[in-house]
Amino acid sequence: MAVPRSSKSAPARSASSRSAAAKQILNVNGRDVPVSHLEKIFYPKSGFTKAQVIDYYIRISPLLLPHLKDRPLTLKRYPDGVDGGFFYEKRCPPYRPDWVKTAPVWSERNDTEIHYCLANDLPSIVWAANLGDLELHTFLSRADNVDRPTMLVFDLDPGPPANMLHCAETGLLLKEHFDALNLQSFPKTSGSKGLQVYVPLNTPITYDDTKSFAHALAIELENARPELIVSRMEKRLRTGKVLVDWSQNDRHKTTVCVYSLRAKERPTVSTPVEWDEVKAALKKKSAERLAFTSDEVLKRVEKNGDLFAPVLKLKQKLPRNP
Amino acid sequence: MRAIWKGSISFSLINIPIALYPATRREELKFRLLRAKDLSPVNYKRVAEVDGKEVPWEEIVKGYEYEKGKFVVLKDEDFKRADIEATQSVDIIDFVKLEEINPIFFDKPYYLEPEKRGEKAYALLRDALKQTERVGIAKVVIKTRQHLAAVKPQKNLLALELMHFAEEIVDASELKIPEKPEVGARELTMAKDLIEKMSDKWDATKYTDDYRHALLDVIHQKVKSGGKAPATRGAAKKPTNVVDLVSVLQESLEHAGRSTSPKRKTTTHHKRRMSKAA
Repeated sequence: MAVPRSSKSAPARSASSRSAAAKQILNVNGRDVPVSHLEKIFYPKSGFTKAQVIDYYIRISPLLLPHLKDRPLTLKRYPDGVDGGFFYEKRCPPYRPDWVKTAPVWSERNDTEIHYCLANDLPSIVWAANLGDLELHTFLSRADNVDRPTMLVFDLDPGPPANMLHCAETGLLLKEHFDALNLQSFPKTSGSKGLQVYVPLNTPITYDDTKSFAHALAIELENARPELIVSRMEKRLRTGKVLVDWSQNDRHKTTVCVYSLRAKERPTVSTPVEWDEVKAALKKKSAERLAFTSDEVLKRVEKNGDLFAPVLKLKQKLPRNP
Repeated sequence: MRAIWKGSISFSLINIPIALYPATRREELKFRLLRAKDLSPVNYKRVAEVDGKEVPWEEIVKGYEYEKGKFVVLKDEDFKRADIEATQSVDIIDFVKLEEINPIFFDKPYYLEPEKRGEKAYALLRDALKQTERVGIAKVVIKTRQHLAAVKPQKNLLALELMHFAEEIVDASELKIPEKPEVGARELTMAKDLIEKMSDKWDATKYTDDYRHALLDVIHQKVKSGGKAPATRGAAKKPTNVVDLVSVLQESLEHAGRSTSPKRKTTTHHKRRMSKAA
């Protein structure tokens, strides 16, 4: 086992760190990754520390990495834990180590290229986690072809008093629909309040195609079940209903990556589930069955492996109309 | 609120009667000294150096040591004689731009309240200062000292801020300060980036005296438990060993590197739980 080394407190280094003394070096697959403030509590209600955040990402990495690979990543950083402030970071920080790969993506809004981080290896994940990047938000496309989504996604977002169970019901309606189209769909929890449904594509397609398909399907579902489902974004329309958010299918949007932690009270994870589990939760009226913390997820993957593996591999063609 | 001083602001031919109120207070916990065995309060006595005898207040005078061991006695009327001219007024000498004053000169703030028949002139001075973005620099004698002071508009009132005289500012030229940092552009960028990240709008209410609050908690607990040390040591942080946490993570890494197939049943490593403070 490699011996942990404490970094030398060279004056140059102290300029970049609030307490150089707390800085440590973790040897990750041969890379020196500086880590700091490991004892800091990031989830106060659970006493979950920064060290535990990094530990979770290390342990889940064999399953997580394929889903992050080559996808531009937006960091959502909570430097003081979930109760502190957070900020999104699209532009990969300029002080990144040179082994953190980046991908340029043209931004119309800024009229310039934004260099996103790519978390293609474990050192990059550990580095990001050390920055307080609790949540990993990725593109639906890969960096080599940012205009081609590899999947279609629906984000089912409940407006209180609607909850996870309403999302489960809505998700099952979506599944029925995709079944009828001979398309396989895969559910995961958002790790927050809702459920997300993924349809793997991995075939040539554009965001225009996926977005208009998703929009049309959301409207169809809303028309069929207006008391349960809403397709328009306005918050006030969502009360007691589930927003079938189709708009995530956009070149400019990122969605929380499978196996990402969420910055909630407990260290919950965006977790892949089986449709049978969704059905069972609905039947038993138990939203708790669709909420998983990092510990539970690590146990699940030992048993289930990566339920989301097909999302990366399965080639499916979207029909023109839903 | 009690006025600590009354007088008037004067400049040119204008005279504004005002009262002075402290704008800050010291939030400090006060402790009494006690005799340990019976908690009797301990008092100080003023004793004469020469014979160790206690000196009653009425026999005490103030003296100035003008030469080692040589004193000149000043009585109340002497002090009065020195400040008789100035005591009752804040004499504005100049008007200057606030940003020209190094904040290090400011010492202690007070609020000014207009006295009878001063309201109109008070408002006039306040608004004129606001519109010209200037503050009045004045001299004022409070108790036995003359102070430099600034008369500043602050929202709807006028504040008086006591200032240091230039001769009270300590010369910093003796300190060894690096002229140019011996760091590269990269370090500077990192530092600047960090500052950018930690930048926030100034909000005074965000910062509180944590030590005082913690100490008050301890006091309340002790009062409740009848003066005994509380059973738990409050929310005192346990010392954590950072190096140990690193080795715990390092061990996780060793494992993650080895297990490429997540389906393989691995036992011991995954079962191990991380403790909060390893």
